[in-house]
Amino acid sequence: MKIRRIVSFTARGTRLTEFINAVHESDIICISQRCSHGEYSGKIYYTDLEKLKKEALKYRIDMYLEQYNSGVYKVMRYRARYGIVIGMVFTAFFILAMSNIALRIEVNGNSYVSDSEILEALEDNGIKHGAFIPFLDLSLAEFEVKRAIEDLTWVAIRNRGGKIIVDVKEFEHNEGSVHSNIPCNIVSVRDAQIVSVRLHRGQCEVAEGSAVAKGDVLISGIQVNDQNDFTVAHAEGEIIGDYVEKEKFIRFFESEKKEYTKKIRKSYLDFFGFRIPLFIGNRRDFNADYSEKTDFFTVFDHELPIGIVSAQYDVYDFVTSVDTEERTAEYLEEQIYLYEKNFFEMCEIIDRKIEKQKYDDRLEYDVTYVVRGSIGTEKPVFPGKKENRSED
Amino acid sequence: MNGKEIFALGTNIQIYDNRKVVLSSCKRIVEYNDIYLKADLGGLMAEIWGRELCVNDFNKEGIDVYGHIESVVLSEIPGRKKTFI
Repeated sequence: MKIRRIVSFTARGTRLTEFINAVHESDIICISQRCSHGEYSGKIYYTDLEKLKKEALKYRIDMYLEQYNSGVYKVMRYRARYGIVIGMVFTAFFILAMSNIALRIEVNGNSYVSDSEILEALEDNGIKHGAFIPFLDLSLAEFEVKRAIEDLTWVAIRNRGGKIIVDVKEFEHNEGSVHSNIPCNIVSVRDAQIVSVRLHRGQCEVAEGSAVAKGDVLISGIQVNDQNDFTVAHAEGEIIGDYVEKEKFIRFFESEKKEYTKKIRKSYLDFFGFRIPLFIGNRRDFNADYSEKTDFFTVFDHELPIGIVSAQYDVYDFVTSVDTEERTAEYLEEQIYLYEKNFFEMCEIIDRKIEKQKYDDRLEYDVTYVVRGSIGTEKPVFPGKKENRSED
Repeated sequence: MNGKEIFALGTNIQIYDNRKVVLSSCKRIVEYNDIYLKADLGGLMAEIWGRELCVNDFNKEGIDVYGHIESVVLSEIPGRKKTFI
């Protein structure tokens, strides 16, 4: 497509040959010249039109301009349409902004480290919704996030337009375990009486019925033979023992409780991570429990980063109440039940003694448990940087 | 040998098939229409016969003549010597 504007002309007159020569001698570029039946036609650039008109005037030539033909002419026809220019500028700015502003942050590869923990660490390094991506130092952020969250072994941060993608790799989370190729002992984590010993590998240092203290080696990974040569191995086994745990539960008769009064529902538009309220109202100045649910729009099973957030506020007031002794005791028993469920799920409670003490303003339960469970943990023979973690 | 030949200032004529003739220096167009073009090349007169003759002038002293070329006749000025091509 031609870019410069081209004008087609047709000239007639008695001094046509002189006019042709004048065009030839001037610095006008003229192409597709035809001379036929007393008519001289050709094409020139629009910028030479005034010169051609002067020559035509000089030789008394009648000139007809037929058409403008070029891409520039097509664009110039819309030169008064300011909206087109404004729209183009706005579109360019919008595309630039959307490509360089962090609209969405995606975290992949984590299972027990929560998204919120990683997002908090990212925010400490400036990576958050609305951040200007060219100003972010992603390499430094990778290092800082890995340093801030010990459970991460590898962090990679990259951006794709306005989306920041964070890929992480976590340490294998085995409580108190050491990699199977690292020599270790099994030591006791508490004072206990041995109930049973199951040895898989190593040298057993205790017998059933014996008492051990915290830190005692139960199964040794170091084996010495008759010639005083020693070998080291990864000790394996299961030691079950009885041990004592104590816990105190306290509850005051007078307490502040939440009394729920009403529910308030509000909606927001989640637009690429930005929350735009879909209501007009005052700032929230009440106490409430907050819950929300976000429904993202989908197109052909692809979820868009635009959705509606339905938020619910359960408004409450603090009310001071005085419980009876029976009610307080019930509460303490509920607490004991939850404690046992959370902490002794993998153990067996052999005995439980509850010592109740009543005061003027409270009830106290001192609970002593005799628990039967695993008491050993792996400890490397040669302590290094990461003693209790599996390494890749 | 004249000055023109020494300094290579002679006219350069290029003929491409029977479709295009390029005249490197054209002082003046003497006559021009659909089937005939006569141009003064400064010392030589060129007469081009053909059909649907068009001219492109890129403002470089010469002109490009294209169309269906049938003959190109060159004659010296002054003089009657003609060269047929």
